[in-house]
Amino acid sequence: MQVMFINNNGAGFADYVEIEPHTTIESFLHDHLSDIHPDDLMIRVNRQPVARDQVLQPNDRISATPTKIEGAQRCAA
Amino acid sequence: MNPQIRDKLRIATLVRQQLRLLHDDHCDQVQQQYGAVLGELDRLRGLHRRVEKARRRRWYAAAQRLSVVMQNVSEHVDQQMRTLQSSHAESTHSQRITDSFVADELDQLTEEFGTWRFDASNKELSVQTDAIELEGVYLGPFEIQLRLCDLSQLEQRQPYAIEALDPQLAASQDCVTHPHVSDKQLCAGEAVTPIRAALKTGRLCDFFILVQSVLTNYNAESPYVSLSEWFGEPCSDCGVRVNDDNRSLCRRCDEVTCDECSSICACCDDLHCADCSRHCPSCQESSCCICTAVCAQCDEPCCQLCLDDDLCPSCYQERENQYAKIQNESESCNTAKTSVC
Repeated sequence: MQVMFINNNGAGFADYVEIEPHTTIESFLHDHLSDIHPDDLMIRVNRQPVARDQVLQPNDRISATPTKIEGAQRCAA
Repeated sequence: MNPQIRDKLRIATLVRQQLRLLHDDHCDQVQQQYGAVLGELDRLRGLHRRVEKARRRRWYAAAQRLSVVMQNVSEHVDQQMRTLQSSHAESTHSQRITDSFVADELDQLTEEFGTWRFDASNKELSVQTDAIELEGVYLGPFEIQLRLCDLSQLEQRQPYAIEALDPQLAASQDCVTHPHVSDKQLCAGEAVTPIRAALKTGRLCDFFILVQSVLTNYNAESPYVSLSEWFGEPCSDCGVRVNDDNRSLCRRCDEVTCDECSSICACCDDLHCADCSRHCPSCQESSCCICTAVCAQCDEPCCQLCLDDDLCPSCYQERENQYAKIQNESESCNTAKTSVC
């Protein structure tokens, strides 16, 4: 089944991702964002906060936004 | 009409219009990139013909030279194709923005930030953060202001500003309200790309959350003003906090001192704090402790410039007067002896 994944870590574009049925949000993040601790991410499924063991449904909209991002001194936009 | 619904419609219309303009610009650029690639392919075709011709006529040296040019052109085409593919991917990712999509974004914004505000005259959508404190330094709450009418200029300039609601200005730069905000402009660092992506695709809520994430974190490697120097340093003499512009380091003890408390030594011309400076009673100037000595006669401090033969000017003068007196006495004695003779 397919879900929409908005990864705000890195390029930040939305992508449709193929996943197995009965995949939980925790295992999904483990597969797709293993380099970031889940505590450092704001996770929303269909714009709502979710529990770790929530099972994803077809066409769910998952967004992961890092909560610890480092700013800098000079940049363009 | 309910004012909030009216604002939502206004915001949705603006976002759609601006992102359409941005998308059109992007499509123009992609078309130009295609044109450039096709031009290079034509060049490659011409080179290929010439290599074939040279080989048929057994002009091997010419064929060799042309092959090298062909290789360079094909590498350039390869590079252009990669750029084109990433530009194309960006276009594909940008989904169609609908009014209901924007309304959903605004509803989520309410859930995440409690409320949002729309300034119709400036076409500005804004949210407030909670009061921010980084490493024990209170910076206060901030308002993140997104100028919707500038969304189409996203590639040229930052369409958002960060307003400090309880400004805690850095001691050294009064335009810096946060280690990563100067003149209301955020230096987003690692968040630049995801912020752009969120705005390009109309994900307003993700944009505000990303900006908030930057504001609630501190990168000690590259701040406008580091938090350790946020309030300046205390003057070692009077305790007043000083910034880079009005502080000095004592040449002798390296203590920070303010302009009021520091003084320039009349002898060595170096700056010194009050502890390391002395007052010369003779010339009324200040001198550092290195350039100050005591008079061998009266033990009063005196600067090196006034000291003469290890004596302060008054003791020196006194000694000179005594010498003169003795000399006069001896001269008058000699005169008397000569008269008697």
